[in-house]
Amino acid sequence: MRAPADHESLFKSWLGEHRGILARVGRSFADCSAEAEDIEQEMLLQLWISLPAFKGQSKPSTWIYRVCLNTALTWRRDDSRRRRHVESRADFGDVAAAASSPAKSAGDREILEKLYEAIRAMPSLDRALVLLLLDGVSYREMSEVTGMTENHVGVALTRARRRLAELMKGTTDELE
Amino acid sequence: MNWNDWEFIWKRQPPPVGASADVAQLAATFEAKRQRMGRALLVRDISESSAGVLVCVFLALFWRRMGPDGWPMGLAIALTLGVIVFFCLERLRAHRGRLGPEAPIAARIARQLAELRRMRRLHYNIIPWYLAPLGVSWALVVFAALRVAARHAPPGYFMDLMRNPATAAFIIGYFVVAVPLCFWGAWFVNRRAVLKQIDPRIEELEKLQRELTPPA
Repeated sequence: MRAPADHESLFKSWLGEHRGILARVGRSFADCSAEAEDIEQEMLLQLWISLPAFKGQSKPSTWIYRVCLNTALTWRRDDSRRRRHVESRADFGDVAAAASSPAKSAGDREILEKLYEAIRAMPSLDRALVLLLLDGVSYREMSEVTGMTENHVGVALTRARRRLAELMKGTTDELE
Repeated sequence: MNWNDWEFIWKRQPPPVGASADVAQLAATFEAKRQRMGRALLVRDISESSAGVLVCVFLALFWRRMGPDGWPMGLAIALTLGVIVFFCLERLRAHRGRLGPEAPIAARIARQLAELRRMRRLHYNIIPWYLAPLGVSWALVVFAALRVAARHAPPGYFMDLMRNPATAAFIIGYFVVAVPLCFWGAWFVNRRAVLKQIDPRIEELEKLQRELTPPA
């Protein structure tokens, strides 16, 4: 069992390295920026709480994806939390613009925004798989995260990618 | 545009806002929150089971005043304690069997589904494990009280009580309306919880589980 000080240093190093995972999962599962922030906070809390259970048997990123996706999926099921944000529904656009460096082109930002929109329009599992694939996670790790067999991950991903392509079709035509 | 373009743009996302937050402060906040959550759970478990324990203590004191004639109170206490023990064991089992968010999604969903189905069964069959023992317990308390009262009350006391319209209305209202209404209320709340909360969650989890299971 690790000492609390070790937890803190591990938490710190993970956040430094993998904070992007939380942001991307939060944004993919939330309907507005305020909700994304809440999901992110919840994921951070769950990571902190589950930290003592980390035995190093999987890569930290795999473990973080598991915690984050489980938290986000649970969040989606809890309607009462989501209803709180209905009144304050704000676009993600401002957040994306604020976070972007000047070097990123407006076109890239727009495509990214559309990509998130398309991901949010997908069923929960497809959403999780597409997110993992876009982040460059291997099939084996996806199988560890989801508990699906690698073969089934492949089948489900083909379906999810097709769905994403359909959702992005009009968008990319517009942008081109 | 194709998948590779999207992937390229995706990977060039800027770092999230607040990525440089003070981790030590975050950890301290989360630790405090974790402890608060743990305390809240403990308080909830204790308060839910202590209500039954308090009823048992009250019944025991009542029995002591009644003397040996109040022996049905012992059975009433045993039945109430039985319900409390069952409740505590259920809670303990649910705590032990819970999978943390670090578990694979499929395993966690399977466990949550099993737990929800069990909860559904318990809520749906609340009569044999909750309402019936408590109902019998309540009947035993009434029986014991009447038995003791009949020994000490002057002859015709109960008939006199029923002749008075106010006390007769109170007694009939209590036994025919209030008590059955309480039991019906408990049954209704549980049935409603199944329909409004548990069933929709089971349906949603089953859908997710179907997606996670390879087609035959």
